[in-house]
Amino acid sequence: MIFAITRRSFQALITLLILSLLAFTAVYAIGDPILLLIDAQASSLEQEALRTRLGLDQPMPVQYLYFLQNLMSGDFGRSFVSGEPALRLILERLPATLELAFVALLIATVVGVPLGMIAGLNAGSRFDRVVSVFSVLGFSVPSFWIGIILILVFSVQLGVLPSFGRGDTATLFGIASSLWTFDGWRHILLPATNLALFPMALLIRLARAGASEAVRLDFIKFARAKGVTTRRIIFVHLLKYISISLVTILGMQLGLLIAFAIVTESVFSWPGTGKLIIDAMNSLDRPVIVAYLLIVGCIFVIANTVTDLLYIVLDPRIRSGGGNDPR
Amino acid sequence: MTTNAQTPQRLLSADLLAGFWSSKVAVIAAFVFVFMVVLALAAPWISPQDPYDLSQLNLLDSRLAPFEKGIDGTVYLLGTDQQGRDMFSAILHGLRISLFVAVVSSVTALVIGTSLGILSGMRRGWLDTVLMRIVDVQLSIPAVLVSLVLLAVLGRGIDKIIFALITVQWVYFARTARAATLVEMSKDYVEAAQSFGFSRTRIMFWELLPNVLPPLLVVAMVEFAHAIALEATLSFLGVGLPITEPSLGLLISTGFAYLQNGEYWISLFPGIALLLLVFNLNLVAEWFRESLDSRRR
Amino acid sequence: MSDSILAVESLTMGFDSKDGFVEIVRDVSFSVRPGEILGIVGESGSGKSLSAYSIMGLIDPPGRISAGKIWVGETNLLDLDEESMRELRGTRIAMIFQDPMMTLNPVLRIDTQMIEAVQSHFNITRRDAIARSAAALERVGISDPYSRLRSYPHELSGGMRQRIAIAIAVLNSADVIIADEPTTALDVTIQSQILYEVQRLCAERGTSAVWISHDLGVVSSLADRVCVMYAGQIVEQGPTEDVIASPRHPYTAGLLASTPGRGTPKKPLSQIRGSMPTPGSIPSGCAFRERCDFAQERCLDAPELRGATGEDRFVRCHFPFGENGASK
Ligand SMILES: Nc1ncnc2c1ncn2[C@@H]1O[C@H](COP(=O)(O)OP(=O)(O)OP(=O)(O)O)[C@@H](O)[C@H]1O
Ligand SMILES: [Mg+2]
Repeated sequence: MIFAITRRSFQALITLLILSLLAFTAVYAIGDPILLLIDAQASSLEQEALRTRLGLDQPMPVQYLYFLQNLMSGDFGRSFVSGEPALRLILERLPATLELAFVALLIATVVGVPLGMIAGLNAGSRFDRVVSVFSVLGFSVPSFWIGIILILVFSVQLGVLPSFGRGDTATLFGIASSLWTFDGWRHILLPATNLALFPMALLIRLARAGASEAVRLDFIKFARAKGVTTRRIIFVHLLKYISISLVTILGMQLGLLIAFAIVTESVFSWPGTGKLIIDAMNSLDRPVIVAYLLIVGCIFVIANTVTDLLYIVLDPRIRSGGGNDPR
Repeated sequence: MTTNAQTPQRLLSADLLAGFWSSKVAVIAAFVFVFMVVLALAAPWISPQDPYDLSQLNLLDSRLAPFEKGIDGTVYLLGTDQQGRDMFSAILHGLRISLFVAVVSSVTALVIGTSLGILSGMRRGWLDTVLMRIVDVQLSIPAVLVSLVLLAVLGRGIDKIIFALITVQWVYFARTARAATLVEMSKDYVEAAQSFGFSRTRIMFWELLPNVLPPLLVVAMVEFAHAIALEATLSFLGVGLPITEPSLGLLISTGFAYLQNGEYWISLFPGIALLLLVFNLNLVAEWFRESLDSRRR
Repeated sequence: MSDSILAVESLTMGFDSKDGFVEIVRDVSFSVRPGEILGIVGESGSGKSLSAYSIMGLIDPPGRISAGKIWVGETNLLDLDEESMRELRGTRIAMIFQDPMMTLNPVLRIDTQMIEAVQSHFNITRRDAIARSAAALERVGISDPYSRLRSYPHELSGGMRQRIAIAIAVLNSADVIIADEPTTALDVTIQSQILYEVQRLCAERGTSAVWISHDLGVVSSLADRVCVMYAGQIVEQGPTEDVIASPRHPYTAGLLASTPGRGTPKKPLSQIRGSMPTPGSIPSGCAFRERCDFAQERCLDAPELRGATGEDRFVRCHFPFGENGASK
């Protein structure tokens, strides 16, 4: 167990190093970074001064080490546009994005897992076919378009839910979030539903496959032979059995959702990191883009690592070493 | 050359097609998709106006609702946009652009990905290791993010977006082609062909390719739809096609501004065209995937 | 029927398929008396497991029971709704499955799986349920039951898991236990331990059992009476010793001759020629006629399961051995 944690953490660290190398290449190695970091009007003397100050006259590997050192001390560069530290810009916006991703994941799980399980338990039925067509919809249709339809229906036509922005926030347990207010929930509902569609489709598919396979297994039949209720068989035996693989997917989805949020945030003007990065792209604000990539990469790697470890905790067969069968 | 060792599975065998005709969902989906493609091809001849010939546009006719009559009495079936452009014509031309981008990028990605995948599966060794590492890393990052970053570095333009799409797509083909190659390589007929002294390249093209095709066909359909969707998304975000190439995504994007005032048609109708294209293609692909899966069992 | 605890009457089950209803279990009847062990023997595919699932009400579509009655006491199980059937499972009739590696849920602890078996039927506390489970484990010869209860299935050996499955089956003092080849997947030494355990349990508590096996040897050492199944039908039924000493159906005779350690010593093992017909391609008339050395024209008519007067023996053959007019 300890060994597994150490190994996984080590792998995560390697991945982050590779990521930083890529980011380094993107901003500093391609083109002359000085031109990116300083006003175009600056004199060549000023440019030279900055070059020496930033260590850009050093060889590349040394520069990369400087870059890493800066990252360690939290220096991701400053935004060309606002002049603020890029890291601070990202971190300010991050809670809104995390909140959105979290609610989306919640919706996806609460709706997707039961739908998929019911479909899998009734494989081949009309319900099953409808659900699987729905999951193809969730997989294939561009999410910005679904977002537009949600706005059109719920906010323009019915007028029941707001279509843009984040609602009031409140602070509870030291966390400022819009989830603590009614207005906040009203605002998050549409974007979160929009963002939830893809992971929902994925969960439907996985839960369906898991359930339709597992019901054929002997242990389900044996549980029925014991006289256990159908409800308990589904919610304890089956759910626990398939949830182990679902958790893995959920963990990976959290990281992905932060990236998918770029689209949803643009549609719903959600003030999160996705909106920020699109703005940064349109104004060629490279330090912000790089900071975004590194932060999202970090979250992604952390989420995956935690998920892997969670998997070890959840599956008794792996937990007690190797899963070999002492027959 | 024929080997009796193992009959390679044929791409479009009769019973697969027979099964296809008996699936209502798949047939309707395929029909709608083909219909959309025909509409796009016929756009210059069937669209009521040339939507990008400014002399044909009348600003006084701007933002008319569907079926509303214009100044000169023309009825606009799907309404007009803010420049008085007939939405129906704009959609037909948008379809063309969307399909063009998707065809070019998917076909290129298919050729590159399949070749690399087969090569990688046949040669194994360091090439395989390196390629598959790249594929794994790319598959773990969302396609939107990869293409966004590429476009941020490259800038806008139809060539740039095609390049970005190819970069995103080739890995799916490579992964599938490699996996199928590994399976086929372990079968008798490849060994038989090798023992007859056929060169690797020959085996690759004449023996492996037809057998690797069925799974690739599914991926090709999914990826084609994916390319359409991704281009639309990027154009909607404003980092995709330039305003001179108004694809469906771009049309939706311009209409989005008017959505709040209830002028839904500028966004909605191009959106429906997009939906029909992408969703139906995926339904067909899904059907193929399922029937190929059930045959393999 | 009041002297039997479980009575199956003309049970027929099969599967709905493209080509119509394919019968698997055909007109099967038998009864089990209190405290009795009934053996059911038959080749793989003869429909033994599906007969057992039919009794337990565990047939899923496209499978379906098309005819027959299954009496437990005064109730016909086929008249019950799902909830009453559920209440009956585990309390009146219990079942043990073939492969102990597959019957326990790999992600739930043993105690969870035992407690739920009790609490599904009785409104008792968790602590009492645990005590009851531990007692049941001890009864099947498991030492240190409390630490076993805290294990996961994969931490236990196959023999241990099968003991646990048996403990679960006896947990609620069921009247009848249906054991579907519970020792086939185990080592020979463990096999005999399990056999002994089941025999002892049944004797101690007067529990009846239906013991399904493809091994006539196993059944003969355990069962009071035996049914021989062939192609979904019972072809011979009677007290174990009598059936083994003087089989009346040619199939039973062939089965005995091909069982090692049976029949005359030194005589080489014989084999029944051909193989059992698959469901859907069973010949008309006597199902065994194509493999039978004694088949005659009359065998084109399907024989009934007939009883000889004054004896507890039944045979489905026009020309049974050891009766008047026998073929040999
Ligand atoms: N779901 C199903 N659909 C169609 N036929 C089935 C199905 N399940 C079982 N059968 C058929 O029913 C027949 C009887 O199966 P059953 O499992 O009862 O045999 P068995 O006597 O228990 O054999 P074994 O000793 O191998 O366990 C087999 O020929 C099998 O092919
Ligand atoms: Mg069986």
